[in-house]
Amino acid sequence: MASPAPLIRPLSILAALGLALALAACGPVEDEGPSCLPPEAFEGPERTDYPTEGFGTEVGDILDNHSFQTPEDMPFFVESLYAQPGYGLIMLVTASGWCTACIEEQPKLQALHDELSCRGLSMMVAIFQDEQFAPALALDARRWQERFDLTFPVVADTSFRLGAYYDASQTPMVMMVNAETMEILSIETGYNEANIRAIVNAYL
Amino acid sequence: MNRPYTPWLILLLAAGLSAGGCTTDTGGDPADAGAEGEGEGEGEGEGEGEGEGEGEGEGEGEGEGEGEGEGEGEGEIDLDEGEPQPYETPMAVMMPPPTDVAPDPGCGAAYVGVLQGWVVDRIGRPVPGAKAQACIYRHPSNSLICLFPADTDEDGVFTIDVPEDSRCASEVALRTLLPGVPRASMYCDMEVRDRAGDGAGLSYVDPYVLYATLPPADLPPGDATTEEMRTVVFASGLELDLVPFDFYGDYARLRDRVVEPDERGLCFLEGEDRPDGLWAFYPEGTIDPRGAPAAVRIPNDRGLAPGAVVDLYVLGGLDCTVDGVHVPEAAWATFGTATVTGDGAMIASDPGVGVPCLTWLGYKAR
Repeated sequence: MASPAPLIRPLSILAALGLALALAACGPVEDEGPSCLPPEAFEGPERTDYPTEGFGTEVGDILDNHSFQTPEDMPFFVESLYAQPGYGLIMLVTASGWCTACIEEQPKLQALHDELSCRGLSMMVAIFQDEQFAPALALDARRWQERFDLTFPVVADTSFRLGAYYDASQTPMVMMVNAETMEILSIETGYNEANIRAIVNAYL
Repeated sequence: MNRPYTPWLILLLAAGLSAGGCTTDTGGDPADAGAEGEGEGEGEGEGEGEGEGEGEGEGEGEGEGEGEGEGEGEGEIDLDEGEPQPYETPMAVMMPPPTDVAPDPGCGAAYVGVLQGWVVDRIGRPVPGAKAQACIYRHPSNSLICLFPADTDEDGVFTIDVPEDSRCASEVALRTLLPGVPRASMYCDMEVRDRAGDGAGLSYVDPYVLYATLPPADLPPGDATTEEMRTVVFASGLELDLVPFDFYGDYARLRDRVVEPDERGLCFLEGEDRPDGLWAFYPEGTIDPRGAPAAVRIPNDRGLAPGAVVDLYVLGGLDCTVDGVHVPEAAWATFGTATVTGDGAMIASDPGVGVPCLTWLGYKAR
């Protein structure tokens, strides 16, 4: 059984956020994290032992194995992100058709994915409403993925399950999850790339 | 639109008003000002004008029929024609909204706790059930956040409570719309920086106006899977070449309306040169820039000379990109040129120029 990708564990979230503040104060800084993992890091058996306890909606809790709908209208469980060998971090992002902020951030998400997936960052966008505020359907997820040429999973969160994890009056939400333990590492509203990079650098 | 009103002035005004509201706008003909009671938001319910039903036919076994929808559906929208009436401004927006939020002097930008305003139709009647949705650039991170919309009440009034971590704002744009009803979305800059001295509770006396739109003259069949070009002829005579697959909006419901550029409520034109022609569209949607340009042909109602060149403008909305740059909400931006055709009948977008999104469109002669 192949071992998971090596992770840099010692830094705490607090340190990561401190670093984020420093980055924000200094403006864009070149990412100084390790280079891409070797391809074999992403091969091997899938993780199958999704946690069964400790679930909650706050930082430090375990993310429940929620179900969403794929663009093909099939069930998509969080555990399918967990199962991927080699990935150390999962980034979950909420979006809706009426949210300009969400629309603006999609190209940034794809660019981030292009840059960091080879280091072990997995990503998923969950659409919870369409532009008319109706619950999102699989078709909305499909159109969203096509519209922004997204190469990572896009799902419909028709029941808005992720709304329980943050102040849902503010969209989008960005949640970072430890892919090995499914522990929620951070929850933020708005897209703050400096904070995201700080966590990536701390964990990957 | 939405100019700052200092609290003392508002209090002074409020002191002289009756509890029932007051007239604060004279945009309409004073001779028509007697239409009090028009502001009850009649018939603004949602409906598609169709229903489902099973009849029990005598001798025919069973029957199937289409019922009639109630309210303002797309086939029978109240077009709010006629002379605009003076606004009957609700008392609620004449005063700063009550809030326990105190301004934060350390914010370094505008500190906004509550936003309050109201929504009307073209002739000034309140629009209940509309949604008012604010998107905020947080200061100092400059990250953009969109708040869940607030609904307007029977007087058309909305109140938006801004969460604590989004109160320090460098910019706020507001979108108003009536979901499911073919009125063009309106976007306004809330000008919060100009009102930073007014406190954390901001009230906007000038209303947001939702214009009704008309069904197209010719809408060729198509949906999100149609990859062939369609020419949509709108009610105004404006023609648009559009590939439905490239349109991120509801192609089947496309409509428009000509709006005179000097009509009231066009907040996004404040500080801009008034266009020579202006169109409102419903539903809002973006046109994929990776596809063929969506050429537009505009009736040359102003009689511009053949060969005359005009600049084309669009209102930034949910998703509108010009030359790879996102047009911010409520921004009025040029996206290309058009030329009056040889016969003088139309103003046609120049080769390579495509409408980037369907929100509001305008042109201005050079």
